[in-house]
Amino acid sequence: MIEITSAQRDALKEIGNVGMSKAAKQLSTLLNGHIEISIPEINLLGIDKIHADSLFPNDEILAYVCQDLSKDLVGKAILVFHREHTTLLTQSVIGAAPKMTEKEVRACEREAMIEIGNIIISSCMSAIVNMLSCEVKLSVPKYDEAKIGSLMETQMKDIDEKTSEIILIETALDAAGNDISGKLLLMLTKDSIDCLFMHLKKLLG
Amino acid sequence: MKIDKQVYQEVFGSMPLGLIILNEQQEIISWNTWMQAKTHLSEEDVMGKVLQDLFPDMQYNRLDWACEQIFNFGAPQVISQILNKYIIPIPLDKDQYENMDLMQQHVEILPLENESGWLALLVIQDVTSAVHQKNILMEMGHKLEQESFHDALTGIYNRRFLWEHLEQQIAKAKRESHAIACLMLDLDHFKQINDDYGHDKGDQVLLAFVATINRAIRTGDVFVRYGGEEFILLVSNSDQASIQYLAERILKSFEQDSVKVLEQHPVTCSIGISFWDVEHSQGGKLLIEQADKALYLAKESGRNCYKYYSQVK
Repeated sequence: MIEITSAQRDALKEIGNVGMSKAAKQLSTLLNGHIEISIPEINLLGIDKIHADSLFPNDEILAYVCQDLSKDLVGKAILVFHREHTTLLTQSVIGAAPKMTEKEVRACEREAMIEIGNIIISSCMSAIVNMLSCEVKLSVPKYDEAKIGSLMETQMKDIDEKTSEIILIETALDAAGNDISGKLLLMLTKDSIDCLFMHLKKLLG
Repeated sequence: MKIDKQVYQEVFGSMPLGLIILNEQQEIISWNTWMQAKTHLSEEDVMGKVLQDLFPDMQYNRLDWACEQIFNFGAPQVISQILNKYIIPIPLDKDQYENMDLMQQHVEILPLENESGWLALLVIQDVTSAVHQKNILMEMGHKLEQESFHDALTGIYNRRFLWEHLEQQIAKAKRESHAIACLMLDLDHFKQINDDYGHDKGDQVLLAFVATINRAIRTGDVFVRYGGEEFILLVSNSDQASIQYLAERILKSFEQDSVKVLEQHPVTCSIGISFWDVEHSQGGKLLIEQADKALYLAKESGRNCYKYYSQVK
């Protein structure tokens, strides 16, 4: 397991902060209201920790937006929200929609979450690319819902080289007075984690 | 077999989607047949121009941010209909869709790697028809909801709404530690009015009664036609003195207002009042039964008056 130094953690936090601020600015314009995003907490976590109920309850259905990463960093960027938070987030954007059936509300939430997730993920990834001078290619975002165990299993399946660590960027959004917490998981191959830390070392001199 | 460039061009041109390619200066370098048909702008009209010059009313800031992500980082972008409605304002045929005059769009912007950097491929899907259907369903849903919770004659809430709403109202009062007053109101001798003047006049009396109460209550108070000539009014966060004043005002105003419907024949009403508070915490059903008993007492006491459940022996 890679040990993360406090300087590296601070640098990652700064990168995460730049990305999240950029996302907040764009979301505020798009959503026509003030969106605040807290300074993110950054952690390097073992995969086993994520399975072990520490981040999300095992039986809770989570909503997530996922984009595949390639080139210098290979893996996945997955933005995870509590399912009911996506409803709050969407409602703060499009207003409550009691006149729609549950199915229609879910379709609207799905559509809005893909765009919102896309903005947050691409803002964070562009901050990483910018500050670490590396090259990352992203796929088109996808939205899905699953329990944490099945989410991890499905996403890990697509990464060729197994990895044991995940970079976790935790943040809280305040949209129209609703506190919504989201977690961005950067699930990278072992080579990519090494590459990321190599760039980090370069950045820190 | 290798497919030659011309085939790709034909595919690009004939796709049933809007396809635009922008260079890093955001100038149009490709504009497919679909875009030409929808905007009535030919390839020659648009080549080398930026979208904002062609469509000054477009959602430029959103597109600009998305293009920045493409040109600086090659990160694909999704611009949804639900949050943006459209990116490029494309008028729809007149009267094609009610309440919509611009094409609703779902847009994906994909990075294309080029020798000199990134190009942005805008893929525009026309989702107007799906949005239109959703709007119709929403309107129908809204109408059904209105109908299922509202009384057809008076337009106020019906008994079904009361049962859906009452427990929520009590839970809220419990959370916020405030009282609820339940007023059960019944028109006096209403059967006689129907018999003497006919049902149309009877309906007019009911409408006059509803108008009187609506003028007397606050926004947030819940007024329900409980059945026939029986009504329930739920008033939150009010003390007994205010409720007494309200009941007296209703009795007086209605007697005056009813004369406008039935000249020379003032109609009156009786009111039974019960209270819910945190201390008693009775259920909604019991609260209504208590108001009903108080109403019975008011009728027994000669009508055109109000009585409290606390006065029932």
